[in-house]
Amino acid sequence: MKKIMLLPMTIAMLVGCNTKQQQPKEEKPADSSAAVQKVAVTYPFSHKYSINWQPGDDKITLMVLETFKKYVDGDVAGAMENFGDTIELNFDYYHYRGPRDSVKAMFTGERAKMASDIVEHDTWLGAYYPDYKATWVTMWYKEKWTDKKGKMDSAYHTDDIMVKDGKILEIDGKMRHYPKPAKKM
Amino acid sequence: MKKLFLWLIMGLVLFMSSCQNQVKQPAANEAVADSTKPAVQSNIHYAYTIGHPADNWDRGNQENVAIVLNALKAFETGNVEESLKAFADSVRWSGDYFDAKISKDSLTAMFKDSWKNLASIKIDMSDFESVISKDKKDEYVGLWYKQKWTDKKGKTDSIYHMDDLKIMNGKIVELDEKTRHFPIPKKKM
Repeated sequence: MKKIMLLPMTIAMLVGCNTKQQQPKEEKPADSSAAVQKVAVTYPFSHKYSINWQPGDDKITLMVLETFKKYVDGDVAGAMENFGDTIELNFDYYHYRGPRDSVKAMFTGERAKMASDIVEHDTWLGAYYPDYKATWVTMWYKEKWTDKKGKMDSAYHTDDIMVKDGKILEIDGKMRHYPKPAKKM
Repeated sequence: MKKLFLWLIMGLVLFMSSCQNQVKQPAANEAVADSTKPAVQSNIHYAYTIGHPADNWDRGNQENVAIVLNALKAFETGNVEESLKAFADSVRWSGDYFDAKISKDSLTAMFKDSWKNLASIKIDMSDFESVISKDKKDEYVGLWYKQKWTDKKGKTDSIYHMDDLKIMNGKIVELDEKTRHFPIPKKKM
């Protein structure tokens, strides 16, 4: 349950991929920057999602980051303004697809469990996938939080957020915990 | 003569770089047209700060993808020695509750230990991205995939991965694994 709480908080992740159609390999657009690297590369894996991407619109990345910040700052209602009517969530041990109101209620409950939430970003990347007319914004960040009992914890996240027609439709969160400090003798 | 040769090479590199930039420019315009909203490269104040430009990443070398995927495929098929060929002599490995810079010998031992109790591994790849930083100093390959495995007692399990692998001089120098578990199926009554 703790993990479920953490991931919704983070609000983001890219490349849900599970429901996407099998795509032909390496359909790079002729105008892509990849055109400068026309190397015949054979990959040992097929892929479910398109690998045809290009740098995304900065405004979409900005919208996702602002949405995330609103959540982190406790403004769940403000954050939800940028979500679509139906949202898919994938977090640790958790999957949900349903209406925005339900997601809002869940996010509100999870955020309320925290007394404070601090996020330190390593980087982010907006990638536009023309085959789906969708942008995935990926955020890499460290999250530190304190629950209402005063207990502190932290984790490293990579969240993928899918945006289509200006709305967030999917969040896919992955994470790793930091090593536990060695106990003092 | 040597200097002249160097100048010629530099001129050629600059010319090629110029050509690449000309090729890249329409790609950005294409993205704008497809997404129906103009991309703004400046005067954007992001909600968070990072230690490099906000639009730091370009599409990277696809050969790096091949390096990484070949290593993963070799590991998947139990060929640890082949997989290790893609790694540098020293590797930083970050995973759940683990973060250390280790020698290749340690990496070898850990890879072999990973296989010790397993009968099979299956990778279902979702997506991969190769990126390079604007200053050309950092290259990463990101992988998104489902990993399923069966242990030697016949028990199966699975997890979803997002791995970032840093490439330097054609070798993997960092492996940063993030995961999420799938929901536990409800027990039948």
